Amino acid sequence: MTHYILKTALDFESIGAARDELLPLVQSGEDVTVEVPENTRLTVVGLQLMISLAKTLQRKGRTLSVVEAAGQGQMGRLIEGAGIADLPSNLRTAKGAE
Amino acid sequence: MSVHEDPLLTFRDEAVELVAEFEEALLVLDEDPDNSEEISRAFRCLHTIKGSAAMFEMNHLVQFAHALEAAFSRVRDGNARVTAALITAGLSAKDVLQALVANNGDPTGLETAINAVLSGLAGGGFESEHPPASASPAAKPSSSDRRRPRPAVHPDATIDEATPKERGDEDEPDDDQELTSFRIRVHPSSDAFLTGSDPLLLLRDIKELGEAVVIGSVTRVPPIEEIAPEDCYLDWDVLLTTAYGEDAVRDVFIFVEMVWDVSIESIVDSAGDDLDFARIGRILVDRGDLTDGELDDALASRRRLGEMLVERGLLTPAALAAALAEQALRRESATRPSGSYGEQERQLFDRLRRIPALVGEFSFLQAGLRRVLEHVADDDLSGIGSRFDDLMAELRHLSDELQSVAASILLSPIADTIRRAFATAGREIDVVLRGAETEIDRDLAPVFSGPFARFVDHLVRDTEMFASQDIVSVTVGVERMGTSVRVFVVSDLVGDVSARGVDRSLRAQSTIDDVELKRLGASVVEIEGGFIATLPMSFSSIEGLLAQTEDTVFLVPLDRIMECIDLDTFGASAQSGVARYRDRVLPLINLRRFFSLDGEDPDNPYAIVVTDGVREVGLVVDKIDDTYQGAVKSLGGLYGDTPGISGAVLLGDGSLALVLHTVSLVAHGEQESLRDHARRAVVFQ
Repeated sequence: MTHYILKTALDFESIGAARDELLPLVQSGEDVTVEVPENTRLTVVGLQLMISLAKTLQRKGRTLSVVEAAGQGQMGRLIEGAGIADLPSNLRTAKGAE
Repeated sequence: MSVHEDPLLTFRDEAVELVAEFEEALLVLDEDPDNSEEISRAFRCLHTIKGSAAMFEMNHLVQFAHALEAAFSRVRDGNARVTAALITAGLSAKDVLQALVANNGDPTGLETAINAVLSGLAGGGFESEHPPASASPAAKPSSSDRRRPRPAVHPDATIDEATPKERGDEDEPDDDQELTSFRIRVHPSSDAFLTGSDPLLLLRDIKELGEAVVIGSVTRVPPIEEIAPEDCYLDWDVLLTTAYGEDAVRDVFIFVEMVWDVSIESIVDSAGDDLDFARIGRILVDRGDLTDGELDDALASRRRLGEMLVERGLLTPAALAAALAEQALRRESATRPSGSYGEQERQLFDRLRRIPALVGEFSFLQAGLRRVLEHVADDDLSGIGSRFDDLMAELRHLSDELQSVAASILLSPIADTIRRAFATAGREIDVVLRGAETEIDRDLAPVFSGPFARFVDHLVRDTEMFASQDIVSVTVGVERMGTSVRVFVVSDLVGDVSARGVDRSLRAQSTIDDVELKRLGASVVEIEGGFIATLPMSFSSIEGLLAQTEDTVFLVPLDRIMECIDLDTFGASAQSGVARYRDRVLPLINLRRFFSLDGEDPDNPYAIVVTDGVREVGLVVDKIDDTYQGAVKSLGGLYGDTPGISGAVLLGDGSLALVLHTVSLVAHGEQESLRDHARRAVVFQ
C-alpha cells in the first residue's frame, strides 16, 4: 500500500500540477491511498482527476482510496452533487480521523 | 513576485476595468438603445466577470453577474429591448459589481442594493416589449419569461437566499400548471472548465425547477496518462419533472447551449400523454443509446436486458442507470390518476404532504409552551397544555400515516438486485422477504432504492460476504425501530433469522463505510452472514432524549437508547473508559472530552447506553432532561461533518440541541475500548 499525501490543491488553477504529482503513483505497483490535507480545496475538476487515476489503477487491479485528513467530506459531496452513477468500483473515499 | 502575478489581484484589476467598460456601454446605450455593438460589449463584460469570478468561487458575484448577463442576453438575442429601467438597473449594478469585486465576492451589506437591481431587472428592463416578428416561438413572452430573472441559471440570484414566496408570486409556477417531465442530456464542451463554467452549478439550478434525477457519467474520463486535466470529460443525464415550462429549462443552459451539446426533450406529462411507458429496451432506442437491431439481438437472450447490454459493452452503467430512472418515472406517471379529477387528487395530496412539516413547527411550539407552563401555577393553563399535548400526539399519528407506505416498495428492488447479481455469477438462490408489510416513510424508497441496489450488487459481486457456494437463500427484511428503519440482508448460512434474531444471535464485525448510503444518513454494520443498515425513518422529524454537559444540549435519538444509568452505581466515574454493565464491559465516551467542552465532571454523572443495533456504548453526560420531538436541521457545510453529530433541533427557548450520531459514537467507543485493551496488554507484557 502506497500512502501519499497530496501537496497540490485539486482546483482548476492547480490541476495540471496535481496530475503531474499523482502520475508516478501509477508505477508504484501497489494499492494507493491519497491523503488530501486539511484546507486543500477539492472541486469538480479534482474529482475528475481522481476518477481518472482510479480508472488507471483499476486496469492494473489496484484500488485507490482518497482520504480527507480533516474529515471535510468534499469528495462525497461532489460525487453526490454530480450524481455520478458509474464510479470506478476500486475507488474508495473516506473521511480521516479528526 | 509582483502583485500582478497573484491571480486574485490580477482578476480584481481586470474586473475593475471590465466594470468601467460596462458603464461606458450603458452610457452609450442610454443615448442609442439599439446599438448592437454596445449591447454585445455590455454582455461580454458581464460574461467575462462571471467566468473569472467562478474560477475564484465567488459565487455571489457569479450569480449577480449572471442575472445581469441574462438580461443583456435577451436584448442581444432580440427578445427584449434596452429600456430606461434596464439602464437604471445596470448603472446601479455597476456599483454593486465594484463593491463585490473589492470584497472578494462577499455580499455582506450589499443585500438591499443587490435585490434592488434584481427587482429592477424583473420589473421592466428585462422583458420583451416588442417581440420581433421573426422571433421563434420560444422567444415569445411566456409564463417562464415573467418569472425572470429567477430561473435562468441561478435561481438563488436574490443572493439573500430568500424563499420563493418572498421573491414574489411570479417566481412560482401556477398551481394549476401541469407537471411535465423532461429528458435532458448534457455533454459539456471540453473547454467547459477553462471558460469558467461549472456544470454542477447548472445541475443545481435544474434541481431548483422541480423533482430531478441527476445521473452523471464518467465513461469518457481517460486514464491519468492520457488526460488533459483542464478538459471536461463528464456527462450528465437529467430527468426533470417540473411545473415550469420548457423555456425555463432551456434558460438554465442559455449561455452554454451554443458550445455544449445539450438536448431537452419532453417525455411524459401529467395529462396522460405518452403514458404507454415503454420497456427499457424501447426507451434506450428512443434515447439513441441503442439501435433496433441491437435491441432485437439482445432480446433473443432471456437474461436481464440492461445487465446484458452493459456486459456486451453496448451500454455504459451510467446510461443504464439513466434509462432505469426514466422507466421508473414513466411508470410512476402512468399510474398517476389522469384528467381533472386526478389533478385535484394530486393537489390534495401535495397539500397533505405539508402536514409533516407543520408537525415539526408545532413540536417547536409545544416545547415552548411546556417550558412556559413549568413556571406558571395555573390549573386552567396546565389543562390547555395537556390538551395541546394530546392533540399533538394525534396529529403526529396522522402525519405518520400520511407518510407511510409498505416496505415492499423498498425491499423488492433489493431482492431483484440480489437475484441478478447471483445469476450473473451463475448461481441460483431464493430471496425471502421479511416485514414487507411494515410501514415505512414513503420518501425512503425513491431515495434509497438506487444506492441500496448498487451497494448490494457490489457486496455480492466484489466481496466475500456472499461468496460461499453453500448459500441457497438470502433473507431481505425490514423492521422499524422508533424513528429508524432497519434493513437486514442475511444469508441462510446463519440459519433462519428475523431482525430481532439478528440482534440476539449474531455478532457485529465492523462498520461498512459506503459513501453513498452514508451521505443519505444511513449506517451499515456487517454481521455474520450479511449486514444491517439503519436508515432514518423520516428526514425531517426526530424523537429523542435531551441531555446536557456544561451549556451544550444534546439530543439522543430515542430508538437508539437502551437505558440510562447512574455511573456511580456501576462502580464507574466520568473518567472511566469502561464500566462493568450487566455482566459485560461497556465502553464509555465522555461527551465533555469527546467534544472538548469546558468545565469539570460532576460527582454523579450519568451514562446513556446507546446501540447501533448490535454493539453498545455509554455516553457520559452531566445531566439528563426530558424527551423531545422536533424537526432536524442540517448544520450546514461548516459543522455538517463534525464527528458524532448528525444535525440539530431547535428547542422551545430558541436554543439548539445537537443530535448525536450514535452509530459513529458506538464505533468510536469500541475502537477506543480495543485500544485500551491493547495498551493494557502491552503494559502487562
